Amino acid sequence: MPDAEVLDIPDMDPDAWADYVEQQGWTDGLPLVPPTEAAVARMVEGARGDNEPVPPITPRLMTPTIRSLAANAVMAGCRPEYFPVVLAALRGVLVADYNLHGTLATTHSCAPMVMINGPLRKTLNVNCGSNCFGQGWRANAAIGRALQLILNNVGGAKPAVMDRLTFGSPAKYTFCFGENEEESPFAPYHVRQGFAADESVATVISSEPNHNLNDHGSTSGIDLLTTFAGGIASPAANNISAKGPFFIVFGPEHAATLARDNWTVEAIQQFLFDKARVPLSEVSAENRYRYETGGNFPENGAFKVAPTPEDIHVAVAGGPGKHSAWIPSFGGTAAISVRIKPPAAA
Amino acid sequence: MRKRGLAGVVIATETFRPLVLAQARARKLEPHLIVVKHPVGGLNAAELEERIEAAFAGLKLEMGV
Repeated sequence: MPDAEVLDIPDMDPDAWADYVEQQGWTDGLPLVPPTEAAVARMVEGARGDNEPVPPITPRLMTPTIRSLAANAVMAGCRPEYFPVVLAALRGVLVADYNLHGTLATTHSCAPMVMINGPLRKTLNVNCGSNCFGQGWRANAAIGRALQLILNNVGGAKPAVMDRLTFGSPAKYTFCFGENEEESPFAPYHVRQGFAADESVATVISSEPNHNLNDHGSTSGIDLLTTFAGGIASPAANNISAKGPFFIVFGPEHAATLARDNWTVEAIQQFLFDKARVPLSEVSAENRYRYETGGNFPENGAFKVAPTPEDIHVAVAGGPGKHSAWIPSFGGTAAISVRIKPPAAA
Repeated sequence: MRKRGLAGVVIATETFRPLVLAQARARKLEPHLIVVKHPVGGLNAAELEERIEAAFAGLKLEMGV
């Protein structure tokens, strides 16, 4: 009996294969690694012992098989040991509060951000330091890409058809990095979410790419935070109109200054919540109506950019330099952290 | 809703018609679709009036009034 999951594709040279996957609509635009049966089997082996079913993936609402997910991880360029991270990130975006359906049907430029915490960052050589949001590291590139390919090929979120972003963004190719726990003065993000330090965790949120927060001048924590509060108080970001969280990722040098001045994560969240406000003078009457209809009412003549201080998620990543990053979200989404299941012993 | 005797319709702009239909197919639904010109957002009252009239006409048709 033929295997309904296996496509019998004749051997072809790399150029023909690149054309073939483009015609099939499987690619993100870049060439894909051929998902041979042997390569898919090796990828499945990377998640040995993980028998937890994966829910149907919107918008097509197909219940995925492990091989269909593995095939996309192969095509993305994943090593088998990356696959448990891909599965954890996928399970994260399928949690209802992440709002995958809304984040795909929207016209906003959002993509799934994946942040990795815990010991697997080192095992997999996930870049947490210089250029962590950029190119050059296979784990960062392939894990984020695999998640996108799964949404495209299994979930059916075809760009410009079911995935309706006005612009999209470079983060639609991949947006995956690790927290720089070693250079962070704060407890790792996943520990603050209730996980053990020796667990590895993937955190996802539907977000824009990183927006740089430059401060080469300030020498105190409060001055840095004042700069950042101004940087994230935007009347044009989704977070003002749609209630929801976002990330502030401090570069290690900024984080060190904050810690030296005794700023805790909670105090940072409260300061940014109080100070990052959009004055009514920067908001049109129509937008004010929209924001208020959505439940964001001005306080003391200004709009909040997060519903609560806890919706301002704080992490540390990147390398040397006086830069931090604001990662604005879709708004109607949540930061979801999922434990990465290590493969069972053979 | 239709089984309960209520008119259940989806109002979409022409640009998003394929998305609505694809979503409906995934849920094995056949929506009664009222399509209006795109966009709806960012229009002034006069520009919006045409969309409202088109949607209202479609709604009356669905309700049989």
